[in-house]
Amino acid sequence: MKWITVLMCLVFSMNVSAQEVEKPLPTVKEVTTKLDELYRSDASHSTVTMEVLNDRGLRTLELEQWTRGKDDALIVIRSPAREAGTATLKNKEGLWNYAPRADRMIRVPSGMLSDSWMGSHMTNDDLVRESDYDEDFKTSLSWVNEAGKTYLKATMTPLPKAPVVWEKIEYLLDATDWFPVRADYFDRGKMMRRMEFKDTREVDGRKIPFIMNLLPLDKPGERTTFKYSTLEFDKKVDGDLFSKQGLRRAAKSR
Amino acid sequence: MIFRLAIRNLFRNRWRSALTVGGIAIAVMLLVWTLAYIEGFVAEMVRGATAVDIGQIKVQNPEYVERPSARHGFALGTHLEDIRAVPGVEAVAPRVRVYGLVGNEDTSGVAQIIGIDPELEGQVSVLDKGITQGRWLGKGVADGPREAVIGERLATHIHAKIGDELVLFFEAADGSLGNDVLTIVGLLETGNTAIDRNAVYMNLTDLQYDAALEDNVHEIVVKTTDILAADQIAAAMRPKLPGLAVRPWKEMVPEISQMIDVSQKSDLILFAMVYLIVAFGLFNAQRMSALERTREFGVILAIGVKPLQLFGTVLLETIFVTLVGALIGAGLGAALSWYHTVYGLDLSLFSDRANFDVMGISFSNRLYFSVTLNAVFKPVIYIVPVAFLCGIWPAWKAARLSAVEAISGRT
Repeated sequence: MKWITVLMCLVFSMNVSAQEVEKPLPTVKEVTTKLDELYRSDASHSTVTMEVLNDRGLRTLELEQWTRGKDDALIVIRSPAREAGTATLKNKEGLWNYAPRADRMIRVPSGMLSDSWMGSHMTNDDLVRESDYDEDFKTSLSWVNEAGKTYLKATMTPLPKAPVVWEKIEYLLDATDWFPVRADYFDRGKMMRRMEFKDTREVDGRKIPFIMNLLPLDKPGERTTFKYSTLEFDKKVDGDLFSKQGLRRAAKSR
Repeated sequence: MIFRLAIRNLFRNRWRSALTVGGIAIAVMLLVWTLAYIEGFVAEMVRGATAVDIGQIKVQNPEYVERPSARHGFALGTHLEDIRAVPGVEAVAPRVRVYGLVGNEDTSGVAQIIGIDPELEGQVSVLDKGITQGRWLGKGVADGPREAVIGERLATHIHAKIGDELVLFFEAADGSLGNDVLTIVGLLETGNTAIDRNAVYMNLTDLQYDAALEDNVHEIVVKTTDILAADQIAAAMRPKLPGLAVRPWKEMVPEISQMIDVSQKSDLILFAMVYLIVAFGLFNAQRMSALERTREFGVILAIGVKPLQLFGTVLLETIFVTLVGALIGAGLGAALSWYHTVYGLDLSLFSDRANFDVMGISFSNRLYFSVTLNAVFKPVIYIVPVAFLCGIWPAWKAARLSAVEAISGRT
């Protein structure tokens, strides 16, 4: 009886792995393009709740966010009142922060892309995505099995000169729809932070995780959670929204 | 009598005595000059390290020392008055310090933004004397434009000049984003690289508001009446400041304190080398002079002068020559060093670089010496034993002469 069970198990597991091997890998380009456009599409407009938990406690921000194509992004803080109107703009010419109290903009040097965005654990690059999975990384794909489920794993190493501080990023993607489930960021051979993607919903026929949870591994117990309240794709956005004037208008409007 | 005899002997061979005196004078002069140079250098290091930014004693929240984050401040309370009451404290000033981005639409840089009380700050640091263009911060008017004084190198980096606006962005104490726009009223150069490259000074109360600090500050800077007693004064302050870190400058910049120790020890090596050369020259001259006079010594002994008296005469000759040389050298050295104390020494003679940095302290190519009693008299005092050692051998040989043999030239 025991022997049969063992044999059954062996046969069964061989069967599963055989199935996995059979399933063809998608092309790298398909996957990276999908990741690049995940929250952006051609254009997007979203509202987001961002929670930052660190050693001084929990801070909650409401953000409004627009993107257009690869180059343009605008994020405006709507609440709390003290920070309302603070904004970040990215366009082809660069990256700026907007100070509402002073009504002035300040250029963020490209060297600060990996610095924290507005005191969160997210970096400027996480928010406005200067880097591009398709162009800046060398990616290899494989199937992996975790906790009984099969995932598509994308291991990305940045190309030289890419504006990326990580040594390696490992994405765990849904096997059929390729939306991310988890991303691990490595630097100097050590995993530095983990991003968890949850609450996947369908928007315009695409599956999008609505919650991103960022855990900095060097600061246990801390996290930044990025929770979409609304997310719309491909709505027409105002032509000069991603300019300095557009930023001022968006930052001051409510 | 031996005294007069010694002097007369020296004047009998003026050339030899003058050359010996001259040699010693030059050695001592160079030593005085070198010591004044080193002391000037060390003084500049200490000044650059303490007088600009860290102060002689700093009071901080211990957590801020560990991790300089805007929220690790402390309430000022009556601390300023309490510290002022400690004997040896000359002046105190509170400061707020946050890190952030400063610049404008076109360019920006990372900076430390330091909130100060312009009046109190002038009593503890030399910041206001470092102004190269424009002026120091005004007293701050409630509705007037908020002012900033920034490091000259930072200004160059972000292409800012006097009258320009400066936008600030930084993490406030509550984790929110502080921001403000200031008008640049002055540029400063202090010789402290961290300040010249990275510092923005503004009014304390403005920054406390911007950084959501309420009445908290990040540090109290203390100036003492005696910088070398900072350790003891810090110890006297501690009981009055429970829960706060009180750090004297030696603790904050241990590398500079160590450098001073090392430079004092290396002084001794310098003395040893120079005086070894002097000793050989002096010894040779005195021995020769004694040898030439063997017959004369024989006669002196023969007419009844005691060997001890002869010993004294010859030894005194050496000591006279040395002391006269050393005093002339010290005088010349002090004069030359004094010149460099007032007008500075142009270091570009030795290097084509305009200025250089040592441990975060930048030196312009003009170094100002420091003529101290130590620099002038140490070489004189240290040469006395050298003179004794060089004088004893010829004197001993002279005193041991047998009158008959010496006169007959059979030695």
